[in-house]
Amino acid sequence: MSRFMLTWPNLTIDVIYTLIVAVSCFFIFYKAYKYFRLSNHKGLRYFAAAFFFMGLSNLLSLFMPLFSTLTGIPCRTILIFGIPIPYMIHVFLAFSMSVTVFSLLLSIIWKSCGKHSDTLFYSMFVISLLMSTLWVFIPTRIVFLFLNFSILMTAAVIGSYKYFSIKFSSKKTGKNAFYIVYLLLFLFWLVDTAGNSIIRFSWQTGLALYILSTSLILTIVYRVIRISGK
Amino acid sequence: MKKRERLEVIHDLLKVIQDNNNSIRPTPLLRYSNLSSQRFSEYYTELLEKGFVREVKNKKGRKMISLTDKGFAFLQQYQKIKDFIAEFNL
Repeated sequence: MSRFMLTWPNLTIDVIYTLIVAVSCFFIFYKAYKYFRLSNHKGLRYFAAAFFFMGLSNLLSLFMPLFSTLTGIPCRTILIFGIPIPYMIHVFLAFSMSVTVFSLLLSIIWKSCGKHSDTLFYSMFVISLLMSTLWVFIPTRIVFLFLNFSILMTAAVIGSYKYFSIKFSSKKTGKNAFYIVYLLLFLFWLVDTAGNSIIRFSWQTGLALYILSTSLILTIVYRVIRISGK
Repeated sequence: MKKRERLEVIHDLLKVIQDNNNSIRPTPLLRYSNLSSQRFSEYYTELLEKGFVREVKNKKGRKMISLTDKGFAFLQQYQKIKDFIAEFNL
């Protein structure tokens, strides 16, 4: 049995979770992008990009299990330009995951970058692309996870610095708890990806992770609806 | 006095135009904006480029500034945009 083939209950849970998260991400993207189109505010641009790529990553991560389980054909037997599909999907997945983390990080630190924030934004795409194609040449799951974990840790260090600098500054905004939500969201996401790439979690562990991640993303959706529905 | 954010300045400029029956000459707009002429010129170019305002000639052939649909939409959504930015610390 292919590593990506799932039992029907597991696949159903995966599909429901992915659809909830992807729809939520695209909803957040839609609202943020709408406001960005009106205001040209850079923070909104990076925020919108982050949720667009997060939604895309979720859909991509479901593709292989869904395809293998529905057709019974192992993905690795299908080649595009001589490259097995799982490699291609992993490259896109690694790319969109790193762009998500970088964009969300940039959305909160862009003011500190001055005029260079756009340069950083485009450089981030190039870096993410280079890092994800590295996976084609060293196609081990450990490399994939290591790359994503490094990006997450970099984002966590910079994000935490920003969080504490706001927390202890004289200009308190009172709305800095979201950095923790982002961090937890990425952490659960990474653990879930690790689970899909290396070993399959028991359905109970998987379900618990899904419930936690969904709660976090729905918290963000709730905040977006509360503002845009005013 | 607190320095206004870019978004706030744009809002203030558009609000002045709206409050003047959607038609104002550039000089009074500069006066109401509380900006230096150089900064005003930068913002005014931005507003034109973004399509928030347009220049029209009145019956006397004078250049007047008025809001476009996009400008009105910005004014309507301004508070939401501001709240969104504050909510997520963007």
